[in-house]
Amino acid sequence: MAVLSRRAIDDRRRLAVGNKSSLVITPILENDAFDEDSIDLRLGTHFLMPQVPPQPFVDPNSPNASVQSYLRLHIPLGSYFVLPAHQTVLGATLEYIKLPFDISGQILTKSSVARMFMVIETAPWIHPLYRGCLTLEIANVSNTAILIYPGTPVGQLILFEVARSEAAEKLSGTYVGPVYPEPPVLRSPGRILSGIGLEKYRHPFYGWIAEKELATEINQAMAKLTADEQSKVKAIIRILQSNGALPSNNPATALFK
Amino acid sequence: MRPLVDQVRHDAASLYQFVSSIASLCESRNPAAAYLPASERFFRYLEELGRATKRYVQDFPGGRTQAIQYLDMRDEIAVLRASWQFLHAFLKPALDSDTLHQPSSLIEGLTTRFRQIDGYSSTDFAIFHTDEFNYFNVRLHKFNKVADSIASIVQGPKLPEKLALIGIPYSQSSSIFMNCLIPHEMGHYLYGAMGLGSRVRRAAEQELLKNFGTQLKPLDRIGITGILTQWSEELFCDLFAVRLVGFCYPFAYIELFDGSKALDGNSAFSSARASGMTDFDESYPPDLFRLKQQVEILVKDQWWSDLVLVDSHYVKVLEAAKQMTDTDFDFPGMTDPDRVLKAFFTIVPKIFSELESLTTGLGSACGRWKTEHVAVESYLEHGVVPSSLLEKEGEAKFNQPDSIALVNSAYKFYVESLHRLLAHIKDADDSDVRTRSEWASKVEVWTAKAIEDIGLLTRKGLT
Repeated sequence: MAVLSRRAIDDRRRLAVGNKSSLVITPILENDAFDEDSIDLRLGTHFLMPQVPPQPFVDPNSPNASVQSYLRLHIPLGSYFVLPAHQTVLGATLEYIKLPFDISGQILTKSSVARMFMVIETAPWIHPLYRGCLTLEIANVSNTAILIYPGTPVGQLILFEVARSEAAEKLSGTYVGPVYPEPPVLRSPGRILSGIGLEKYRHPFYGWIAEKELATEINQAMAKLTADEQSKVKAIIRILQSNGALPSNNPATALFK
Repeated sequence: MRPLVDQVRHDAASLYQFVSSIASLCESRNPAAAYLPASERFFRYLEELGRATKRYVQDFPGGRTQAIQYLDMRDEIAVLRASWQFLHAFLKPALDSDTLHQPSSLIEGLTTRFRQIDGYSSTDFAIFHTDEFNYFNVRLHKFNKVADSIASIVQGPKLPEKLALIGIPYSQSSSIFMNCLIPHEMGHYLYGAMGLGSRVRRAAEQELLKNFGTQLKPLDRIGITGILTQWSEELFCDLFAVRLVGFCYPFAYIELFDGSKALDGNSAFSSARASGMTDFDESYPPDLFRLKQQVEILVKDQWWSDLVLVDSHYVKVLEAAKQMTDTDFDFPGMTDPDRVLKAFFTIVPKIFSELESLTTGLGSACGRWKTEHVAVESYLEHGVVPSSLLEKEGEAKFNQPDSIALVNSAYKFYVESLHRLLAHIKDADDSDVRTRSEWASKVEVWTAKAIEDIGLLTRKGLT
């Protein structure tokens, strides 16, 4: 796997946007953004500031947990943002990137930023065909607050050629085209773990849950009821849900959808 | 009963408290919120006016020693309170409209375009939120009247020159396409600033005299003149909006007012389905009349020949409007509507000439659109922000599209070609309404990002 040189990067940028081999990075605000083996990326103006969630932890079962855990901020160019010591924030690159089908990328903290003990990325790998501004998991790991100025170079993008010939695949919609920092897409651990054969998982509020077993039990119990009784049960569930007695993050709730 | 001077002191203290409660909202606004310069100008003005008012009030009784002077002060307090109550209505909606809650890049793009008008190179538009789903421009003569009444009493600042206030529905803060209606409100500002109302009113009076002679009673004459003047202003603002931003304005208009309901199952105009869209009312000309006039500007500014080729029912609505004649319109509920409408139709060319003379410095954005829309659409089709367009394959030269050309290209893509984008996305079903809505939003976000980028690239002078 070879690192793309400046010349190879330029060649890719000269291809039409519809060409699967083309590379787009926009806006390029300075011609010296390109080094021999990397491209400088700047910090964008939008941030997601972690805030104290309504619960004592971020619950991956809760559909709104991801969004509720952050405060959205816009810091215009020229202004600054104070990142306290040992704090984190989600940011995004100013540049929007389209990777070719046969190129992977990695974003690294610029050394001048790293020497301030600020890390801009903890999930640095970018898959082929990615397009969007890159979400940055920024952490101030120093003992002092740091001023962050949007628009300043914070990262270096390094591109690698991937040996693959299949260019016909479609784009995965989940992360296509973000312009602002993206909160994590949380998935129920029960669903993820069932993929490796685990039938139970432990919920912090509800204890051990076996979703499949629970679903079977509920379905069997419901099948014994008349249509009228079923609609009464559903009405009760709706009441419990609407007044919070059966929260939306209760796995049993999902079974009634 | 306490002495008069003490009663007035009480009233002054009450007013001080009231003004403090409003002005402090400005002074202690959320430091985490960012605002466009126009909003900052508006807040600074209110802060200064608040400080001047409080200074004036806290000075009481000053040199006053007579009962008549205390009563004068009581009157002034009443005027100040009523005036601050008026200003109160704008402050919170303007504070709510920070850069995360208004289409900042679009506003900046539109302002840049507006500033190309001779004499308006420093105009700013401060945005505030409205509860109703409505866009409106604050009538500055009314605002100034109230603000000046405060300023003249307390020796405070005047509203900064060339600062307009435009309200947008709070829910539309991040929309690009629907907010293409904002230029209409910019037209209202220009109309007021140029004093067009009095010229149009005179023209309306003359036309009524020609058509009715002395048959109209004085009160009817005044009423109908007011109606014609109102219609003329709305028409001017429509025409201005099209001149400023091109066809994205009529597209947004059709979207907001569901103009496509005038079409039948074969996308042909249906007069039965268009009922209500051809009737004037006392405030507004009908939708199809307004669209017909907008098409005139699209023709004049050379958009039309390309626009008719766009495969969209929005264009069918515009084509239907273009075909309509004066006799297709009515003014139900009005005695002798034909003569009233005839008078108005005679004024319409005058509105067009007013527009021409006011926008001489404002070229059409159509030329750039014609050369750039194919490339912009191609970028959008591939899910890429269209801010640096490759000029020619094989050459490392990139162009920034013009912001107005970009918005029109994106709108065209949205109404005609969203399926081209969806075809590249795994599991995206073109027939699913939610999917289309989701990806239309992405197209809007990419367009907004591109306008922002263009601002940066233009500032740097990079290509």
